[in-house]
Order: sequence, then C-alpha cells, then structure tokens
Amino acid sequence: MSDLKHKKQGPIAQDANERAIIALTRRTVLTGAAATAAAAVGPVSTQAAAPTRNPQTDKQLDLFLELSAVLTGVAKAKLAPAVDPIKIKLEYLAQAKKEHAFGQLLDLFSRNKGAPNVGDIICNKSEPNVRFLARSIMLMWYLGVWYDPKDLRRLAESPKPEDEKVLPVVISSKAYTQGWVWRVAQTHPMGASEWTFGHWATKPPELDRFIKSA
Amino acid sequence: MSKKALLFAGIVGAFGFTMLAGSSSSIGQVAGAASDSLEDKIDPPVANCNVTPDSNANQNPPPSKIVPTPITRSLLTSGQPCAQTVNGKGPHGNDLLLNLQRGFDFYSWLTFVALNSPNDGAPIGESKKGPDPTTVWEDINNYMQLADVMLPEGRPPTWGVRDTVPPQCKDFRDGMMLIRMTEETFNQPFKSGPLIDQNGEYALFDILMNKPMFDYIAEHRLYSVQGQEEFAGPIIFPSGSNPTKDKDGKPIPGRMGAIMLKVSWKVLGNNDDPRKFHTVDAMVYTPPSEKPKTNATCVRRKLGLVGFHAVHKTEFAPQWIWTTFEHVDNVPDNQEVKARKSRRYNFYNATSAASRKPNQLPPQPWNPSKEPFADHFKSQIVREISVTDDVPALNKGFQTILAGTVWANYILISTQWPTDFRSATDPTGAPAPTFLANTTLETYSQGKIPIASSSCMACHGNATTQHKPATPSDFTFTLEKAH
Repeated sequence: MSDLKHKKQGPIAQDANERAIIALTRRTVLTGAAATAAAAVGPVSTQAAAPTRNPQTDKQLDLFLELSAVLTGVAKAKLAPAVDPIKIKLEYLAQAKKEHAFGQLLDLFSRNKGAPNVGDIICNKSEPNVRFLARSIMLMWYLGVWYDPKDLRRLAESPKPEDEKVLPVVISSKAYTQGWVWRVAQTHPMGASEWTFGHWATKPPELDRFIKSA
Repeated sequence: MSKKALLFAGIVGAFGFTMLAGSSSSIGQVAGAASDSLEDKIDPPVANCNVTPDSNANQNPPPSKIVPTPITRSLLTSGQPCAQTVNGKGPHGNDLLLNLQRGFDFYSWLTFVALNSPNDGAPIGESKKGPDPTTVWEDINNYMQLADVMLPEGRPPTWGVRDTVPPQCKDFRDGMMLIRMTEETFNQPFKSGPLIDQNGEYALFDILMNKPMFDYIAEHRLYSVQGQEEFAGPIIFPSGSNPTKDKDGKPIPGRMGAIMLKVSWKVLGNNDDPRKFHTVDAMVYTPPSEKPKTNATCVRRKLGLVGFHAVHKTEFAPQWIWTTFEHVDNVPDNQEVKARKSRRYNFYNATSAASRKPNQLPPQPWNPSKEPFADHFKSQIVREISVTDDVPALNKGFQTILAGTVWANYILISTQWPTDFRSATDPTGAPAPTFLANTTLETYSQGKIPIASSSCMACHGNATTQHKPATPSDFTFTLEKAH
C-alpha cells in the first residue's frame, strides 16, 4: 500500500480533517505553545546523522535536521539516528521542500545557527511565510501531519480562530507512529507500542532519555 | 548487564557492531573450560564460533580497498556463528545501515549453512548418508521440537528424549519427523489462517529450540504453568557471543546462546519434484477431537521444507536476530507477477492470476484432517516486500557454492536486527528492516503498515509467560505453550 494515498482525500485524510476541525481550540493552543517552547529551547547538542550518497542532498538534509532540532527541542541524533531504518527525515524533508519559503528558511537558519536566540529569530522575528513554515515543520515532527503554513498564518491572524477550518494531512502511516508528541509525553501512539507487556505498571524512562543524545 | 557485556558495549559504541576473532571449522565446547557455574551449565563456552566477516573492513592495518568476503566452498565448513560479526564499514562506504544489514545477512547465510549441514558432521553435499540427509537441526540431540519440551500435565522434559510416540504412529522410526497436529501446526500466528498449497494440502509449521534455550527453560521450570508461576525473576535467555579478550588480554570464549527455529513444510505430491526440496519422512499425528467427533490418526507424509526462521539471541542483539529463508519456488513477488512469469510456484498459480485477488484467506472451516481443501481451494500468495539490497547477490553467491544440492533451492529473504539494542526508550531496539515476513509463515500479515504488518521484534516483544499477571518472556511465545 502506498503511503502517498494518505496525502489525498482518502478515508484517513478525511478522518484527520474531521478530527482537526473538532480539535481546533486545542490545536490553536498547541501551535502557539509549541512555537514558544521551541524558541526557548535553542540549539541542542547533536551528532552526525548517517550520510547519504549525494553531497548536495546531504548538506540540505543536515541543515534541515539541525533546524528541526532547534524547532523541536529534540536532539538531532534522536530525530535522525546514525543507523536509521525508518528514515522519516527523508519524508519530512521532501514535504517541507514543497514550500516556496523553504530555501529562505534554511538560509535564515544557516546564517543564525550559532546564535543563542536562533529559535526566537526563526519563530518570532522572521518573515511570516518563513516563520509559519517553521511552525509547520515543528508540527510535522511532533504530530506526523502537515499543516499548510498559510492555514497556520490565517489561524494565528484570525480574530475568531475557533471559526477557522484547518485541514492537516497525514504524511504517511509511519509518520503517525513517529510523532514526537508521544515520546515527549513519555508514552506511545494509540495502537502502536514498542513497549513490552505490563510496561504501564512501571514509570517510563526520564524525558531526557527520549529527546537528548546519549 | 554482565561485566562482559559492559566491556563490549564500549566497543559497540565506538565501532557499531564490530567483533572479530579467529575462525575455526566445527562446533564444539572449549576443552577444560567448563565450570560449575550456572552460565556454563546452560550456555557452555564454544570452541569454534564462526566469526567470518562479510568483508575485509576490519582488517588491521585497514585495507586500501574494502571488498566483500569471497563466497567460496570453504564457507560450507566454516561453522556456526555464535553471534553476528558485522561492521559499520563495508562495501557500502559510509552507509552504516546498509553495511550492517549486509553483515547480518551474511551471518544469516552462515547460520543457514551450519544448521542445514548433515548431522554426521560432513559438509553439505558430502554426507555418506545420501544427497539429502538429516540435518543438524533435525537431530534431536541438537534441537528439540516444542511439543517435546512443553509436555502434557507440565511434566519435566529431558534433553534429547522424545515424548511418547502415539500408538497410532506405529510406522514411526528413528530418523523420521513426528509432527503433532495442534492449531499452531496449520494456523498462522494469531489464528490468522492456514496456507494451502497448489495441491490443496495444508502447509505445516513446527517450532524447535537448541540446548541452551532448553536448558534455561528446564533449569527454571518454565516448561509448566506452575513453574512459570513460581519463577520470580525476569526471563532472560542466554546470549550468544563471539570469542574475545578481556582488557588484560585473557581469552574470553564464545557462547552459542539461545536459538529457536520455526519451519514450514509442504506435503509433497506426485507433481512436486522432491529433488528440489529438502525433504523429511514424517508421521503426522492428529489427536482425537470432540467437535467434530474424530478419532486420532497418524499418517505418513513426505514433507518438503518451504520456510525456515532461525532466531538467535546474542550479546548485542538482546532482541534476538531474526533470519528467514524460503524455498525459491514459493511465490512470486509483485514484479514477477507483473512480468507474468509462468513458472510453477508452491503457493501461487500464474494461470489464474488475473481472476484471483492474492493473499486472501481460505474459506472456513479450516480442518487439516480433511485434505485436499474443500472446493479445490488453493492459496494465491504474492510476496509484498522485496528482499533487502544485498540479498540477491548473497543468495546467488551461496546458491553457487551449494549447486548440486537441494539447498541451492533456498533463498534468504532478510534478517531483522536491532539498530539500537541498548535503547532505553524502545525495547524493540529500532529493528531493521522495520517489517519482515516469510510468505509461508506470516502470509497474511505482509506489508508496511505499523502494527498490522509483520515485524518479528515488534510482535515477539509482546510475548509473555502464563504467569498471572503475565510477564514478558524475552521475545518468545514458546512459553505460552506450557501446560
């Protein structure tokens, strides 16, 4: 079954749309809160990810992952392990690259990545098309779905956000299980757990074990 | 984690999974190395672990060019790996995932060759017992069937001793395979359904284990529900390890660790060519049933091997290494279907491809005592996931050195292994490949849908004992079969 089917208006996408509309208020809060959190986290320690074979693609992917680490507060080595059988990073990069402002966003990040307030520069002080793309990327890593940056902007600027309809798209079946929202909550997606039987009776590992490099 | 494991953890952290030591040719214990420790009793040192790597990447000094290990007939006598010998460096340059996957796939072939060698110690193709003799794993002194371990009433099993042969199997002789029909013998995991060959016969499944796994079960009385209830500790089967040296240069011997096998057979009919299969002479015993009322039966069958899982727990793969092989004629993959190849398959009919949706369950009822299957039903199975990158070349290489034997008709599908075996947040160790299925053993759960599709580790990570409350059983469902 092709993962691409999820990007069309199939049953799953329709379900996601319905959920998104119902959860508008909660999502609005999440969007704002996540942006604030990312701006506060700043750069995190990272390790080199497994290189790919095309140097150009390599460089762009590397920069995208560094940016993603800043946006999410999750270590680059956790987002893209050196030995990475899932390679969700490639799906996410391909999704983000479809946006016109992607080059602008990477360029802005590249020029400021050493700055202590790089998150603030990107999420709060950049052009609207750049900063809302950054939010879409952040949400993609956390939720495994794609929010159109234009929708996020409309939502943020609307005097009545609860009346706005936003239709995120499920990126793929594996994007659902790879959503960082679950790991940041020290739990697992509904219906998909790698934990052994009875894990619910014990405390989960510390948050740092999920999001920081070893 | 043991001191030895901690020592290795540092090595792995620096180099991935690199482990190398001297190679030798046959399996045996280390002379004079045995002690009275429980570890030595359950998983004794092994003198001759096969540590042949898949390339020259780990040579010292480093080679000017990394090249794959030549696949020659010497590998047929190189012995059984006690653990993987893999390296992040390799023929794929800096691609750690591909290099490590290749190493695990190479390990899988070495394991397959060792386990399917004749039980008389001869190399494949050179036994005096004939062209297709009893294999290492079919010898009850090397591997025991699950039915002979999990005995009725929770009786303690004895290594190398078969449970009482049912009186209906009066033709049973030493050297034959005894298949005791239970639901798991014909119905796939989670009762997902049987597989019916092109003669309308049920495929049959069996599970076996090696002595370290057996001894761990026996030592801790895990062969009975009562024993499992009384066992207080976490279940940790012994791990295989390669020989190495401690920080003072003192040799540390290798150990084999726990290995379990799951095999699938097809009943060979008049239109099957037995020269293309590894075959066994089997008695298939079906116990009596009440609904519907039937008497016990025991029939003689010639079975051909069509699927072979080898699952090995090792020091750097506490989630176990999951190797799977199939007979080359089992099913086509999607590309072969599109190419409309008209060859004969065990579980697919090319001539009816256009009219039949593949990978559908047989209609109910499922009753293996009634063969052939009702209404001439035959499974129409297609492989949904292609083999991993290096597998075709490895298959070709090993099939070349196995030419002239039945074993040239078997192919590796892939090997699932943990990419992050120490992960504190993913007990399955982030398996690669994420999904893996054998078309004869996980027929109806092929695919790439999380949770729904077959992943060895993700599935077996849910295995438990029959203890109440249930406790994890270290990636094996075998303990659920205790009485």
